[in-house]
Amino acid sequence: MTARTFRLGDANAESRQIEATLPLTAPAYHALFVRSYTIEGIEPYLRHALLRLGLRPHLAFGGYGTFRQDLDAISVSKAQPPLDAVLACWTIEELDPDFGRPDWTVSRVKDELLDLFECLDRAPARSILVQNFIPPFHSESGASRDSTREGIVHLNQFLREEIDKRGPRFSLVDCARLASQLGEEAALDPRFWYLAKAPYKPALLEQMAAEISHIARVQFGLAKKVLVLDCDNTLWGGVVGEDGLAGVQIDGHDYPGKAFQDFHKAILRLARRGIILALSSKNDERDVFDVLDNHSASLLKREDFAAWEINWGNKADGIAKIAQRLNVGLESLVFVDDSAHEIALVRQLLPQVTCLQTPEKHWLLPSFLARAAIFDTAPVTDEDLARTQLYRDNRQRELGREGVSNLEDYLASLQTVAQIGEATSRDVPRIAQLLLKTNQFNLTTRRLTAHEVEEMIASAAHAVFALSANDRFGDIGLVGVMIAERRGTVIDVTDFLLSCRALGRGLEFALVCEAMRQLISRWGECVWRAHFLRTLKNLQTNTFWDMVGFSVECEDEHGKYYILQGEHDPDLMPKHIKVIGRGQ
Amino acid sequence: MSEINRRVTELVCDVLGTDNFAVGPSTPRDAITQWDSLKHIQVILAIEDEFGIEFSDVEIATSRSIDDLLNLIARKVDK
Repeated sequence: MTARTFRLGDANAESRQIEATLPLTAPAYHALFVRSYTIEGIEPYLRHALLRLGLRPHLAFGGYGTFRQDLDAISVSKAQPPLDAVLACWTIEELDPDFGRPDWTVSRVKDELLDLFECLDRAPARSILVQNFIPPFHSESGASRDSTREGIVHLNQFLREEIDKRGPRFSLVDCARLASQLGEEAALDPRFWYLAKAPYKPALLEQMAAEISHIARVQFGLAKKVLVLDCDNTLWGGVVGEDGLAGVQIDGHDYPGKAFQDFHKAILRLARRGIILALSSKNDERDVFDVLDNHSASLLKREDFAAWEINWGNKADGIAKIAQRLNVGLESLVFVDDSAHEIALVRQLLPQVTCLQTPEKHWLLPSFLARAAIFDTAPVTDEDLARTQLYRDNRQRELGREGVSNLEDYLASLQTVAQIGEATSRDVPRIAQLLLKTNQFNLTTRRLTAHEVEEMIASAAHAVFALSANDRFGDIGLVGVMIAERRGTVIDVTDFLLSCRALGRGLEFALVCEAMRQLISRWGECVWRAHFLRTLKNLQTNTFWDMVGFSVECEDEHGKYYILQGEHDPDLMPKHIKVIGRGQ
Repeated sequence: MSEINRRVTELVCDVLGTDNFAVGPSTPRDAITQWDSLKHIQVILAIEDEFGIEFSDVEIATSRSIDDLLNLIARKVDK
């Protein structure tokens, strides 16, 4: 690990600069540290990391060891706006004063942690981040068993299990891993631990801040979605157009072939987590597919890629086309290439794309993406596992479109079936994910957590509708969400979104028609309200409510506020979509 | 103002969240409300980081103004 990325002075200077130009619409990130030691030193690093994500940080610190009081205080005050994160920072010493004595065991710390987890679970925050403990760097017992170390390792395992058990709102800040990467000297500060209860050096605080910002990146829907890969000297050694199928280096029993093959494994692990793969290569298409289809050592196959631009044109154009074809914003793309020239070109022409040059030392290639820490881990859903297939089906649909000249005929030929109905708790992970990730067709861009969605499903005053679809090319999955809230005789449509992979076939109208119909039969005739809240990416939904039949009641710099008394446009329901109930 | 003086003043002001004019080089930190013991650690850490030096416990306890810090830095950076 590189020791330090930013000196404090430089980080502060850049923070001031970003803050001065941050748009007014930048979302706030309200966080409270509940802690047993001095963690204030993290503030400038965390501010910097959050500002670089385009978030406006508001950081607060609780008292020393007053976890319960601080958590009670936010529960009682019903903090407004709600906290985006509560961060629990603790040391074993503070949880159990007997730590370090010869007869110390983990039991008291475990009881204390379990009780604190219960308090954290009740905290009204959108995410709960918990740090683990740093095992000692030295052994007092030489080669024989070290019960202190074993105890700490056991406690870390216990923390991991508690976090997993309590669902996606909880995340781990893995200080044990960060400290071991940095080494004792760079991570720990015994001097300030004894002088001021501040145990960590700036390098570790900076890494903790980075981890926290990665969790925030997922929480605010800013995570990377697509990995665009070069081919020659990135996916294999050599140039396939010159060296031929037999000449490229990718064999698992050779150097550097094995390094490239291990890189394939790392890429496949990312795909498994839902990252979409694409290719950008200056080559003849058949040469590239010759390797992917026919080279027995190539673990990556043609089916693993959702899109490709293999030609002699400029890569920036190709990458822009890939983004367009996959219906994602350029800022969700990561481009990987071995050529400094290509990286520089794409960086200049498409500054929103994250560009990474592969290391010259081949042995560093397999771990290169993990070290860049660019793809964040959100809980994996079934949709993630099938995502590339879903995008490939879309490609088939696009190709199908070319054969049918008239759009209506084309849409009819898809034989789309939409299942629309109230969501169940089984749908919650996917709905939370869509609320988080959908930027383009999202009317209010409210990033609700799984926990909040779960509460709405259970609440009598809320209705959460889900739309799943399939057509003759395959299953499209759960791609639409509408959430409504009833207040007296008013039904307020607070959230409405459609996944970008389902755009362009009128599913949004099917969802709104059917959900409104079901709501009227549940709640009776009402006045409808709806909103369009403007972001940099949702402009295409600007007139959606007008098309449904709503009228603008007022408008301000944030967006438009709509009202509808009576019924929606009678011709709204698309004729080419067959609507059935969910679970049918 | 020397370059080192400028950098130190800026770091102190950053940590304290105050503007440059409120803190003079010889203003004792007892007289500056924001400069409590917690902020003092952050000031020390920031300066150590900026200049690649390390203060002893006594030096941390006895440095009471920007001037004191500048003297310590001068001694350590010269060596």
